[in-house]
Amino acid sequence: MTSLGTDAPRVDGPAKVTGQATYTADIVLPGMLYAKVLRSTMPHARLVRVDASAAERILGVVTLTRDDLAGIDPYYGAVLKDQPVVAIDRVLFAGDVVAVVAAESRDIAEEALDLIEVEYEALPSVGDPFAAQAPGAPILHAERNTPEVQFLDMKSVHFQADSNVCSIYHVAQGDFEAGYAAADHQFDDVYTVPTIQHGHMEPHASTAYWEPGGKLVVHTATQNPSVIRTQLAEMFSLPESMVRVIVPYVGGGYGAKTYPKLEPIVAVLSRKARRPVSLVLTREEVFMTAVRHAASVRIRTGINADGRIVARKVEATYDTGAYADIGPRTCKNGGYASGGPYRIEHQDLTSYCVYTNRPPSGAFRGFGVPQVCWPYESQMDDMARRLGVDPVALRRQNLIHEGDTFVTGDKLIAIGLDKCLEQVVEAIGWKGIESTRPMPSDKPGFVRGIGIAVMIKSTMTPSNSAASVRLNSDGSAMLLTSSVEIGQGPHTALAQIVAETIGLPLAKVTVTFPDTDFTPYDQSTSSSRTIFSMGHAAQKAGLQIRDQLFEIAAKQLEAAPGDLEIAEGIISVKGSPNRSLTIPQAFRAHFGTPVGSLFGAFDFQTTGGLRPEDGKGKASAFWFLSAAGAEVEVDTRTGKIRVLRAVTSVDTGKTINPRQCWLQNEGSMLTALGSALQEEMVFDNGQPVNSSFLDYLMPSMEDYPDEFRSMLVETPHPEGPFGAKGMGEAALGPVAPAIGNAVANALGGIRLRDLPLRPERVLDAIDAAATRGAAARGGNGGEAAR
Amino acid sequence: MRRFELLEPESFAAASAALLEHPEAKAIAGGTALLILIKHGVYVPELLVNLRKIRGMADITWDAASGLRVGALASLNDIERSPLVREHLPMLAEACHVVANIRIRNLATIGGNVSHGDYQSDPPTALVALGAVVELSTATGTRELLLADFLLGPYETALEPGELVSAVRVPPPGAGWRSAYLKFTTRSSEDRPAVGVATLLRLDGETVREARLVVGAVTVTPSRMTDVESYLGGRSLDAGTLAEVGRMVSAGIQPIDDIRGSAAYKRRLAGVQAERALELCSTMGAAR
Repeated sequence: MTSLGTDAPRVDGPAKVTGQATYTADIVLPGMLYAKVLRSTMPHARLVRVDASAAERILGVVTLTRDDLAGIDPYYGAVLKDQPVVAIDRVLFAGDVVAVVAAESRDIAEEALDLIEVEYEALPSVGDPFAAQAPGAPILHAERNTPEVQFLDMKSVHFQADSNVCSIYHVAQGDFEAGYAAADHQFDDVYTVPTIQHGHMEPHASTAYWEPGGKLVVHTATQNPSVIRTQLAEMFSLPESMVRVIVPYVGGGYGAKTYPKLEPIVAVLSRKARRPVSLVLTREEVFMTAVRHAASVRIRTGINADGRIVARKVEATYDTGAYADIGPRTCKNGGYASGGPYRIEHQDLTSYCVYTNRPPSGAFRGFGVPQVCWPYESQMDDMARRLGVDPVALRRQNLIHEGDTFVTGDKLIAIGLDKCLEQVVEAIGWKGIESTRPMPSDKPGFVRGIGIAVMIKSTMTPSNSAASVRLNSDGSAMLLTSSVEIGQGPHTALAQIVAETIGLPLAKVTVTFPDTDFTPYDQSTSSSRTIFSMGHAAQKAGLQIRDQLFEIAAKQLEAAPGDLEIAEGIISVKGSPNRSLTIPQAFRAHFGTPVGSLFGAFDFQTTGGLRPEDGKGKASAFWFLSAAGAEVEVDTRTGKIRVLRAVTSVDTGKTINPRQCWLQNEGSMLTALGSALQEEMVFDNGQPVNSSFLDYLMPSMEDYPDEFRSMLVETPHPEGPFGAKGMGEAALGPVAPAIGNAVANALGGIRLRDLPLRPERVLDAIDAAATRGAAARGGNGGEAAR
Repeated sequence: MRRFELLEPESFAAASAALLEHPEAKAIAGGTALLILIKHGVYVPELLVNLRKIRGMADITWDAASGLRVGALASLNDIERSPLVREHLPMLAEACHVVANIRIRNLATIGGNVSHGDYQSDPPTALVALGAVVELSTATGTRELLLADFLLGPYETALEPGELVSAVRVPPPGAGWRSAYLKFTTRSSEDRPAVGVATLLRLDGETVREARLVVGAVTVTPSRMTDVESYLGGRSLDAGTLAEVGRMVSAGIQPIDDIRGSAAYKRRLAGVQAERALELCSTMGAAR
């Protein structure tokens, strides 16, 4: 019996529900010190003085300031090395790291923080990308480091000098201006999304120590151990073999734990302390460590009376905060996806990644795409309304299909978006143009509406994943991988792939935790790439083992290797189940006694990359495709929205574990629901004012829709294991615009363009529409229709 | 969190004496409010007086003559689930039920809730509408104050040094009263209220004999809308009356801006929710 495609129970389930799973903060090492961070109180200031001498005088206290950076490269960063371990000459956001203290306990460390004297000289700060580009704005990174060559895809991004614009990505086809001018209808709108935080349950945590031989060991809650190893090796000028990164269970990340976060701090501080140093952030600090890019998106679209979209220009401006982190890639990937999954002859797409005096923005589930999907899918419904056509029909008419060429030049394969759309249409009960009208509610003052949206997204390309599989003489196998079990289930799903490939019972396969001393290179547990990339590598490694087994068994069973099959650990001749061999028997035949092991290893590199001159080439190894539908109820007297039903459909290529896919879709839906209705980081003069779960409200189970349905489409990809593509992030993008479209339909076409759809905003929009309506009827414009 | 001294007196008198002796010290019971202030560095304690070892202060009792008495250490969950509260003062059960989530309600105590003086809270609105009285005790004596007089401003109460809220009392509402509490959140359902409306009605058929209306979470202390109460007397709750109530509440209240909504929005919200609370009260509110 094969486990592939079944709801195999999670192997990490029992440990997690009984509280026994080990996370980074659970690791206590002999002699370990506990660190606390002194953070900037100013959004932008020159550091006049940092004096930690009083704190240092306390027995057992070790401090880290800019005076402790001799002999290392103090800057790190995924794309640009622009972020210092601790502030050197300036602080760039309220919350920036000024100094760090390690002590025997967190209490002592916290007390010692108070003894560090810091003198700031306030500098003018910029709170959004437009202020940052205004004449006379302070330049945050005058001396820009050169881009990291580690990531080939960054060659298509244009880094700007002497400007707060960190990078620009541009791609185009046809002639937008001509196409737009010639179109029957023109639409020109600006949409915005605010800064939000991931809300991962486990805060950032890292622990480091130095072995006597000079090897740096880091236990850390990261999504990409291999990249952390590289960055730390570069910081200390060490060979990568002298840096060991170990990752236990990680309690969620959603992108917030990609690329260096606390690892440089604990590495430098433990070097000075000569003892292990552990740093675990508070929730408030998490809000200062990684956030999702706020964005402002101008979208111009020309559409003909027959419904054909002919021209689209998008200018997406992303707030990347004080440091680049992975922002340039986030903005690039959002940039080329900003035209949407549509055949549009004339396209001109630009994205700007702009520095501001705000917490650094980085990867967040959806990676730049929800910011642009919100505009293009909202405008789609507005265009349908103007044309008087069914918005679903308009999508069907313009949708990309298998074999099309994307704006990046990618030849699109494994494209099941039309199927996703039809599943959602069916599940939400879309009835054509009549579904664009308000639906009555049984409560007076309330109206209902349904809405639909679709999305396309890329994955990190090119990228590498290597896997190593070991088969033991008792028939058990281990997958050695640097993919991180961050809650998304690779310890189960990758085991399913290996079990299926070799022909073993699922219970015989285990998946290791990342330990860069033993597990091979993996670029990242992000970009929903683990099943596709690591799954591919694991499958190829597993096949090598199966082939070895067949070769051994062929001699014993007097058959050609090609005539053999294996299932549940039994090798047999096809059609003659009695001519069979167990794995221990095969080992005995091969080694003389049941000892030893068989190895398989494979490094899978996806190919691609975009050219610097035109931003084209191959953007993605595979494409995420998804659709979402929502039914909402709007309280027209308060503006409050409740999502009654939500449905999502995602093209998985091949579903390895349906229940895990359902949970991914459910998580994406809830994250999107929060971003659509309520989540927003608020700043007052550069100071974050709601950095806690008391003031920053994520959806609770009470906010969960009355009904949620996850649906899957399977359009196999030739490079995916058994055809599987990534799917973890896919459902997120279309949910917010589906909600926005449902609200617009409930309110007779009232369009809200700024997220979140706070009740107050909705009520203002209802008022404004009533005022416009009254004015249009020649009535008293000031009188709201209520 | 910094280290601090924790006293765990086993008697009310000892707790009060400790607080009198250490004016900077604070009493802690559930800790749901105080711990946040401590974690955010707003309050750095040297000494905390834990009240949870004191026995007999979580009792909930009912007396036909004097009404409900809730010991200060009763949790919001205790109150919400108390058969006595549900039978005699269902609005109070509701106002406790809608606070945050079950984890908070299991810890937060009613004494802490009123002593904290936070305007963004549900129970005080209901309690003010019900005419609740707080018992303020020291080692040597007890005085009583109307909750409406006890709450002075944001995080400000009439507690004197060494005094603790020992109980909250609610007089019996009398026959024929219906009541309702209506919470409105602008973000998650677990959010604090953007507005809370507590209302009591004594109806004679369709006609309002007597009304009480308190709007909470929009002003620094719950606002009793006495002009609305008198307006309602003798009227039936038809659409016209409700609309006028909404208008009067919006005109009469002076909301504060906060992260849950602007003052202008809350002004409007208060009117709408007052109408809805009255409607709910007249149709669903259990008559007693």
